[in-house]
Amino acid sequence: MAEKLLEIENLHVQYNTDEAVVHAINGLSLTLHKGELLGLVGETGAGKTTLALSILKLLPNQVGEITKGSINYDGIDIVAADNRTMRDIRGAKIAMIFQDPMTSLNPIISVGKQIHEVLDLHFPEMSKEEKEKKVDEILSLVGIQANRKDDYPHQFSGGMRQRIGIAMALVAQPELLLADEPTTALDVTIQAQILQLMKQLQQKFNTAMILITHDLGVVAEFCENVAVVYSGEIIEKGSVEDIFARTKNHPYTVGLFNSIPDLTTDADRLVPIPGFMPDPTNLPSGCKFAERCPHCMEKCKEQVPPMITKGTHSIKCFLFEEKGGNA
Amino acid sequence: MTKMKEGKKALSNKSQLGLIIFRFKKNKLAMFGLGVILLLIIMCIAAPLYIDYESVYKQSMADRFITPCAEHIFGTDQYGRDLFARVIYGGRISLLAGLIVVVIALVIGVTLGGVAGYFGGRVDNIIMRICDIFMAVPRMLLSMAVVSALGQGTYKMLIALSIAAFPGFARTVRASIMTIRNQEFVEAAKCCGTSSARIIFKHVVPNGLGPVIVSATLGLGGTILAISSLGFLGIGVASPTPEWGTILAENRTNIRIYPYLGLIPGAFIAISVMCLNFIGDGLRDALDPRTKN
Amino acid sequence: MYKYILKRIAMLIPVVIGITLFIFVIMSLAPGDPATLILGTDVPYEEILAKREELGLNDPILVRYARYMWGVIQGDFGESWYSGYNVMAEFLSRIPNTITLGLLSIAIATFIGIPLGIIASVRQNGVIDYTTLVLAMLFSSLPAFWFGLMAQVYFSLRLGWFPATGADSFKHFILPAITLASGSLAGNVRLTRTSMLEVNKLDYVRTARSKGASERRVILRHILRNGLLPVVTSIGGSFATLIGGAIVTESVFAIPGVASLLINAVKIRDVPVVMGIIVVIAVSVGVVNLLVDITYAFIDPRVKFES
Repeated sequence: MAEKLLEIENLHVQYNTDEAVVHAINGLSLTLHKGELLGLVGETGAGKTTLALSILKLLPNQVGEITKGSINYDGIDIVAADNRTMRDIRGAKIAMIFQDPMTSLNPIISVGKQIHEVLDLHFPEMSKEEKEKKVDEILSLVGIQANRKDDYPHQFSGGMRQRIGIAMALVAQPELLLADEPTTALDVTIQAQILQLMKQLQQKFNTAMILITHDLGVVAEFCENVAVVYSGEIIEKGSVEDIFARTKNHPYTVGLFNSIPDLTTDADRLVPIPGFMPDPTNLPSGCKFAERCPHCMEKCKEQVPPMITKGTHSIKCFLFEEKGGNA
Repeated sequence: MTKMKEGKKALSNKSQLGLIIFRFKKNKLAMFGLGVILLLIIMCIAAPLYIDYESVYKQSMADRFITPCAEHIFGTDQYGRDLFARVIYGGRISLLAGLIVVVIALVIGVTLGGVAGYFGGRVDNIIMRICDIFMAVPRMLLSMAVVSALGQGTYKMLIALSIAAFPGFARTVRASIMTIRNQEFVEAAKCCGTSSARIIFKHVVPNGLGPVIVSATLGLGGTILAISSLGFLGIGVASPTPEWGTILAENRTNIRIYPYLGLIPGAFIAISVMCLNFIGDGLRDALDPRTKN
Repeated sequence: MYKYILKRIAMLIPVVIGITLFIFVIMSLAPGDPATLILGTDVPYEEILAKREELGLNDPILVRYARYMWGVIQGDFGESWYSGYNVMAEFLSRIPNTITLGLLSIAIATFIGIPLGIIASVRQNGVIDYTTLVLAMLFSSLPAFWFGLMAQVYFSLRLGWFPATGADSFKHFILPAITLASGSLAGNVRLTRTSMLEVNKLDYVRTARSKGASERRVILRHILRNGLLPVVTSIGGSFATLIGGAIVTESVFAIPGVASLLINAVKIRDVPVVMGIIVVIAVSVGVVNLLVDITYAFIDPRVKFES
């Protein structure tokens, strides 16, 4: 196995709003190796974006707060790191691609200059010509003609803007790429292109990547490993094969599978998961999925189940404690 | 960030209006403004109960320029008139006149803006061009021109200020109707077969009301300022009728030696305008929590 | 772009015609015969008739209006009914004072207001932020004439730092300019602050931070340029408010500018003078708005001139 790149241990993040304290991440642990492609799956509000922002320490000022746990990136303690250290990491070592390409580019700066800025920030010794050359290179790598670099974001389509976002994230060749639902805002036909491009570039530069998505199909197709997030914690993780074999899954993952159409079976109805994710301002004390779980037991409501690992596959559920049967 | 929306769910058992009131009450400045302005209004309305109306005009050469003391808490002016009586009775005029202007301008503005926004097209075009015409000249200047045409006098000044103020309201109303009309929840209501009248009163009016109330509150402050400016220039409420701007104008030459003659009436204008601004800002934040930091 | 500018100027014409027609009509319909007002009631009736003839008051109102506007197009704004001076000449002799006052106060409002707004937004919820905000709130509510009056009493008459009245030197303009600027300065502070905080929440600012830009760079390069867009619009819009404020400010500090001309004319209903000032100001407000829109298009690449 390759070297560890990112190690998150028992992370807790909360948002302190005027009305209430929102517990967005509750004891999340995660390990990522160099060059690994991890898919992070979960519903809206599960804390996926919060996780990505915590890794970069870009949580909304004065509101978002890491209350407990550690994030270790390549020997650097991110939680304790000062601004200076974080600035050197952002963009150069860890880069991020955002969800909405329509709003994530500065509308009044040309796209070439926005990519150029990354180089200005992290390679001050590089000559201007060299930087220009790099900008042209990365643009053509993502499939945009270099002569369009003086154009402004509004002159590009959504898909092209996301390509620019990718170019901006990759121009400094970071070791870790955080892609936060990079294709959710795009047309289905464009989605596949963009994902293909990202995977291709990820392999070319041997970048590790966390692909955040709510789409199990995307994960099955593009990722090596999967982590399922529910209510701010990882409830199941493993290789794509482990999860998609569908022999042994967390009840929530089973629910996720049942709520997407499957052409191989002839079931004529989708089975949605009943109920909603627990209110993050008022979390239950036991398993967070207990209320919606068809297999809920008494102890589920009182105790948080442990993470049970068999080989590469881990599941956070009492059901697998001894018998290891399928839910 | 999506989590924050869910956190708000905890509050969703309150009604929309309840939520607005709740947010408004949390705004200390706005509540302060509301308290002070209410106090001021009560003091003005109740004036006859504690001030002898005669003392507003009663001159007494023996009592000229008495600095604030127990008997005359705001002192007296060059004619020996009690400044406290003049300022409080002046408040009745300043505040009431401001209110009248805003109400007239609101009626005209909401009607025109509503018609323009609802019917759109040609009607909208004509009404908006008319508003453009009245907005081409600064409000102060337009009111002065109208005063000059109609001649001086309190009522004429009220008409002048209303003419100058209505296009702003019309624009606000039109803009908010336009945005609401095209919003998806109205589309959704239409798709459900909701009648036009119901859409207007259930969806458009409550959602469009916010910006109108905010601009009316802020407009009231602006109008009080305009009234006192005209009074100060000697083309508004005419002396010896007490009005805050007029009182300042009367005392202008004596302020140098007796600063209280300027400080006190001016402070009343400033405090009322400021409180109305606080209330207006507070309402805006309460109606649209996104604008708050 | 020239097409756009021409179109905008063309659109200004109906607005100017509309407002002047409105003022002209209500001034003419107002009770009281101007000839009698000018000459008084003691003169023989023939003289009044002659005066009416001289002023052209016997023609239908639209004819009079057309005649007036025809003159305006040729640069002839007529003569004052009461003092007989040429309106344009008198206006031109007074406008430099008003322009000096206006420009100086716009400069104060802009170059002090915007930086203060930026500082307040950067130090959001800090002591500086609250102090600036409270002061801005206070100043945007103060009546300009009162502020001017009190400043005059303390800084000119008591402390003797500035001359109290007149327009003879640059020093004469400092206090009036501060008075006039106070409202829009406060407005600029608040708007800059809100706008900066608003932009700070946008996705592309987060993108900039994710690239590793320092806070200083994020503020100056990404937030400021976008955050100033609404401020530019507002500075243009405050031009009209400024004219209103200039009227009272000039009156407080006895600056021989356009305001005193106007106030007198309004009091005695000197129609040609009031009309002339309205025409010039309506046109200049329109031109300033056009200039603001052009500036805006230069800062924001998304804005294209529609022609």
